[in-house]
Amino acid sequence: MTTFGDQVFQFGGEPVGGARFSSPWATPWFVDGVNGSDGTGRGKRPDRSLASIQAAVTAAKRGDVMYIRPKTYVVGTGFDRYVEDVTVPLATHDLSIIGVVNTLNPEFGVRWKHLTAQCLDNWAPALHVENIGFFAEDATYCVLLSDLAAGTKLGANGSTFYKCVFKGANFQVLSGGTGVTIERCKFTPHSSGVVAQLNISCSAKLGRQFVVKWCDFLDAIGAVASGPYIAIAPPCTEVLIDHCTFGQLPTGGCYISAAGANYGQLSNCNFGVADMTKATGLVLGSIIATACYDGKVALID
Amino acid sequence: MEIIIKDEVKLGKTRSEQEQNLRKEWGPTITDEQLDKCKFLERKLKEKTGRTQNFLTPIELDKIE
Repeated sequence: MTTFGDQVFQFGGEPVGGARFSSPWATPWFVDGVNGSDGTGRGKRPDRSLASIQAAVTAAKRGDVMYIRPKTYVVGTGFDRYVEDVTVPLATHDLSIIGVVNTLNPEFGVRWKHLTAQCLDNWAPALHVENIGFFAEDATYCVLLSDLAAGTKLGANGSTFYKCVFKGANFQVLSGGTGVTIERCKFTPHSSGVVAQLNISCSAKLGRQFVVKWCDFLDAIGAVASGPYIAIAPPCTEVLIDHCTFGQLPTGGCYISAAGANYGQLSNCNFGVADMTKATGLVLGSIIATACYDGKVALID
Repeated sequence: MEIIIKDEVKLGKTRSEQEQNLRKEWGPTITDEQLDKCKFLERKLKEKTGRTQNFLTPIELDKIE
């Protein structure tokens, strides 16, 4: 949707004024796992940074911005990881968690591994995450957006993820919610071939306006990929999956499983199979598919 | 009387200000092209809404062509 004559674009919603606004009292927080340390009064200066992400989340207030510095690069294994299960509480809404990264690949920057259950459990609306490489092999989830009908957890409302990597376990939405946006992210599987699935469960509560754009859903290093890459349990409306790339044909042949009362659009996507059988490859409920291609560079029909 | 605020960095009221100051300390979070777009969009926001404090994400910046 064009909102200005001078080429300022925004998808849906109000014109450009709909951008995120921090509160006038927003505070930047600094996390440095190498040089920082957790303690009272720390975190507001780069030279007095906190050491853990959870410490910064706990100290932060709504609308604040957190900057995370990569740990030390280790020859052979890459950047050291922050190893934490972090929970963002409901009151800390509009929080931004941003990795400092010198490359276009967030795996070569801030890496964040789970400790026991999942790297990130978000209960707060409008969380924004950028440039983070999540690593969650053998975790329950990679990222969990917790959302309850009672309103005590609203993590799947307006949360956005940009240029992140989700590796080894599901990105889970539980349950429903409105307006989650995932853009330019990469989903990479467990080394066994189990995909890092985008799993949007709406069976307990309606989901709306989930946007997944310019994302890569990759297969394993030679292992057969489990599937599907995206699963949506209805009811979910206004789904948009656009300009995404999907890897090899997963076990069962199903790339996207969204049977039932799901509505929206799948468009401009590529699937890494020579000749897709649409009936099994894309189980879309009432989501329409347009301009999608398989390995024959042929329109899927 | 001069008031000194200790232990706090005024990194900036906008994403572009924060980004430029952050680069002096730790490094970038967005590309140079996105930073240019960020400054452009902040100027447009100020003209249109009068707001001088905002925090844009690259999701908004990527929509500028």
